[in-house]
Amino acid sequence: MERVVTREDVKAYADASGDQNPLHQDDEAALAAGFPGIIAHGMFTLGHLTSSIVAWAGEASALAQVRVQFRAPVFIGETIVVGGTVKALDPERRTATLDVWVTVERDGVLEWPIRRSEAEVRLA
Amino acid sequence: MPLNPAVAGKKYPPVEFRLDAERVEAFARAVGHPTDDVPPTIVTVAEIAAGLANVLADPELGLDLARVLHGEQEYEWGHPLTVGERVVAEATIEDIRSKAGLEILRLRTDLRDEAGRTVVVGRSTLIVRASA
Repeated sequence: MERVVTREDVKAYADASGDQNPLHQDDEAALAAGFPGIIAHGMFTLGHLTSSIVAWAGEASALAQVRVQFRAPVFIGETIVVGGTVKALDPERRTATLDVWVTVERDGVLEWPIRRSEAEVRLA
Repeated sequence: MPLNPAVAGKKYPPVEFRLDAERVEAFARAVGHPTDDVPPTIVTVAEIAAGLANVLADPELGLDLARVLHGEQEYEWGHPLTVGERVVAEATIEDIRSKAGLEILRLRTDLRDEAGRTVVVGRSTLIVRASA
């Protein structure tokens, strides 16, 4: 899953989540905090990651756990790319453990907004 | 000011949250949730109201939002969420540590449904940078 992050997307997420931190909407606030521009909420990126997992698993209730680290910011106009692999299957508990990540390409370098992260999915 | 480590273990008052259809839909659209059911991370709304908002307003902590970054997040989902249901969120500061000139605050939020079942446990790690 890939998504271009727009200012409108981030605002829609701010309104839907209740996180109106100016860091995500106001350029001045972002600059004052040491960022070159507005950054998307870490939870915005996590929300897209979990949507991809739900799409893969088939239903929301299949998602049992996630544990993520936010390692890099996401700026407006960037494309977030979700990835994951199944690293373990538990036939008794009927679960799959996935390594999951989100990357962005910035100035020709791959950055990792979400890295060293895991999800556990309940299989049908 | 440095975070007061004695605040670890502090529990904030519970906050009720209703998963009303409009809210669920708006959130689902905002995160690209692909199905008709409740997007799993919508619990962040209750977490923010019951946890983050309290932490940021707490005079014992003296936090400045501009210095707070979201470092890590964990969720463990229990009983499935349904549209329209009411959940109660209760946040606790799990611990406060100093590391490499930063302060790390871990906030745990328990969300329970009306029957008292755990619907999700969220753990947020906030990284607080020193003031400029």
